[in-house]
Amino acid sequence: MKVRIAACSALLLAAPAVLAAPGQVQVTFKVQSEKFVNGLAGGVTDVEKQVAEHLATQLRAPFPLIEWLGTAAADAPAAVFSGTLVQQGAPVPMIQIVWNASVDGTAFTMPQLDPITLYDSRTLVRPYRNAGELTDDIDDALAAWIRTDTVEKSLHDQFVTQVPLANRVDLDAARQAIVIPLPWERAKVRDDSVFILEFVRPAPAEKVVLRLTPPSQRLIDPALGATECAAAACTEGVASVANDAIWSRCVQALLDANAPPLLVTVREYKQDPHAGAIRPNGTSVSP
Amino acid sequence: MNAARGSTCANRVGVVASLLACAATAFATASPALADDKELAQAINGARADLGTGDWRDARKELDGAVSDVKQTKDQKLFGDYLFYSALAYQQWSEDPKADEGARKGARDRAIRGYEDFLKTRPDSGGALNNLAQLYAQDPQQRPKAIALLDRATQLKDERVGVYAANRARIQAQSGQDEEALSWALGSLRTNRDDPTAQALALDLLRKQGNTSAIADYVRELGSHGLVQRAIDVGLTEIEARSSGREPLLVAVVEALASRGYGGAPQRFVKSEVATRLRKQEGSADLGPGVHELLRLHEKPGAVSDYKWWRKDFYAHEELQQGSRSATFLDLARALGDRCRAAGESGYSCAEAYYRFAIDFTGTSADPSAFLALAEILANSGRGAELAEVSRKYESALFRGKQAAYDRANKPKIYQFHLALGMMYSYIGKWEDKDFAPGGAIWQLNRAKRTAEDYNDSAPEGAPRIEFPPQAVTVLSDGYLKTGAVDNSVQIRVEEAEKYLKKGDKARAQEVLDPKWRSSLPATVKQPMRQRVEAAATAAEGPT
Repeated sequence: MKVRIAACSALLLAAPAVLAAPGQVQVTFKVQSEKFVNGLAGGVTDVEKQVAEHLATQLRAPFPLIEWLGTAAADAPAAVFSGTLVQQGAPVPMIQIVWNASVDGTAFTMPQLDPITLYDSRTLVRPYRNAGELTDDIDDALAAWIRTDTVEKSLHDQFVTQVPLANRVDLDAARQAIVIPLPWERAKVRDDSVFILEFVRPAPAEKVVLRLTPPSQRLIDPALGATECAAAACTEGVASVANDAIWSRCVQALLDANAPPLLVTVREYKQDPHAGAIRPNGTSVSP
Repeated sequence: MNAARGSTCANRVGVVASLLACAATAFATASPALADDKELAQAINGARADLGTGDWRDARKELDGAVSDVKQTKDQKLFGDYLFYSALAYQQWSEDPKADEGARKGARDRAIRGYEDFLKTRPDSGGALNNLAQLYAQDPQQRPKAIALLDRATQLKDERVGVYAANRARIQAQSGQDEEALSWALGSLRTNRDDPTAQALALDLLRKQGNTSAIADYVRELGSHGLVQRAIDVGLTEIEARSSGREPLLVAVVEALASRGYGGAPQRFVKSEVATRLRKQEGSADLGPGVHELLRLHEKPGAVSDYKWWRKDFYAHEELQQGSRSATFLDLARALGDRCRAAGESGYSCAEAYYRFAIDFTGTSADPSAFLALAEILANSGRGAELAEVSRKYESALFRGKQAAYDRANKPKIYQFHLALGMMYSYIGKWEDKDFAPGGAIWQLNRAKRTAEDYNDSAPEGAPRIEFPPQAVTVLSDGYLKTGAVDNSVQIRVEEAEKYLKKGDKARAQEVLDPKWRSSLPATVKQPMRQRVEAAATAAEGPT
């Protein structure tokens, strides 16, 4: 299941970097509701900053394979996930948190990700002038929202699967293994998760999509583990490639001198909270 | 001396327990470090990775290859880790069905000795306590010992506490202690809700009991932990597996469908897999009509009289009981209205239909919560005439509901009715009614305020309080102003502001004394009152 090697030299690096910081998502929060903007005045910035940090922390729990950044990153992150506090209607406006996202600067919609209604007609008590109380209310709502399995699924399907996790892989030709530079201990990947590696072969121009599974731990250094997968399936354009030809037809191209840029995303992420630490029969693998 | 120690230990290679003695000697001699700790650490890491995938043979090779290093190391932690992983390798050997029976027994004994020795140096190792318990549990005579070890492990409260609890539950289930096992399995879910072992075990035990109400409670428990989809799935699976006694399960499924976590427009639900599974029950005698009505509600609510199955336990003169068919269905109708409403103006007509349904569902005593939501939509979309019509239509039902709440001395409910009526009248600008005092916003909001105060005065320590919101204070003040009661209009704001300030809540005080209102105080307001307003405003805006 796993392979340990003395150094990276046994692996071949495939494809150059394209994105500044793959695997990183900038989390932002904006207060646009006029009632709160007017009521909180200068306090708005603090609310935005604190909620973004809390939201990033909360998103780490269900999706630890992504680096959720609540504060501005040094490099441009691969994706942005934004919450915005908005209001609609009068005299008793409904206050909601709505969601937006972008990958590599391109915005996309998440229709399954419903807004969170923070205050409606039944909640007339609204801290229009109290930044602390508003932050607490938002935190409580977000905590309940994120820990709901239906929301987790929508977030997974509509956002997490869009985030570029890596723009390079290491290839172990001898074992026909593909190593994603995703820290195993942090990512807590269950072995039925599936990753996707995509690139466009230049001539003839054709999109190649590799399905990578099952993931397992690869110890490159005793302290660091990456995520190793096998190429389980491949399509060139619309045609499926026979299993015994996957490596030569779909992977070999990545070792060329002018290898095309590639992108790794996750198709199905399943978390194992005790990845590598608890066996399925309940035995502990650490003292 | 070192040579002698080396030779003694070399004779014991592979005997984990004896390494402890070797190390004790090594630590005592304080000789210069001869061990290559880096290689030892690498071997331990390698073994750990092997054991993580159940590959005990490779792990043993790694560990056996590092015996000379471990004999010489002075690093107590590395030494301890070596002991632990050696014991774990023996444990996995003992559990390998492909291994020789006799060798497996020997490996089990070695694993037990290894963990026991390890625990002498690291008594607070949850992993070792847990694994040793699993080994003991294989022998029915030694299960009490296993449970005692897991009790020690759970008391450590480390991040694996849910695993220890689930393992404890499993051992008790094996011993026939189903009640305790169930309690521990449910406890494990509370700390680690996603634990599949605890989930499966809890469900198995509940099935064994054969009590569908208890399974329905379990479905609710899953939902309360945010596992809404899982709750629905378990509920439906149990419905599908039975032919009778299924009503509590359907009610529990509908509770999950009504929860905030289950979002999306009602029409989206109709095309969902859950709806498809439910549809298969439409022909059944016990649940068929209920399922039919449930699906119809999602398609288009229609007339309340068409929902006989869900209204079976509804009695107009009795309070709705939480968990009953009617209360659950009412919650769902309201939730569907909220989901439509969340989409903004495009969802208004869909939301209206569900809120009207919810009001009608309660018959002679209209649902104040749904009414308020409906009134808000009509007010927000500038449909004053329609709102007036709706108010007339439901006014008497709201009054009856309020009276019923008074009869039951249910103060939170009384408050809700007064607030709903007060806000409704304010939306249509009906501030007072000369012929019938309760028919105006001012009277109702004042009553709401007084009810909240009464309730809070008598509520037990620590119980949640009812807050009469600043928004209602400003509405009440506006009402007084519009009816010429200028002094009352100012007084209500300043009094409430002073109360907020007394509690240290400057934000709410600022809200009821907002600068725009203060700058437009009518000329008739007397100087002492103006001074009182300014004093409160200054205090509200002063440093915290």
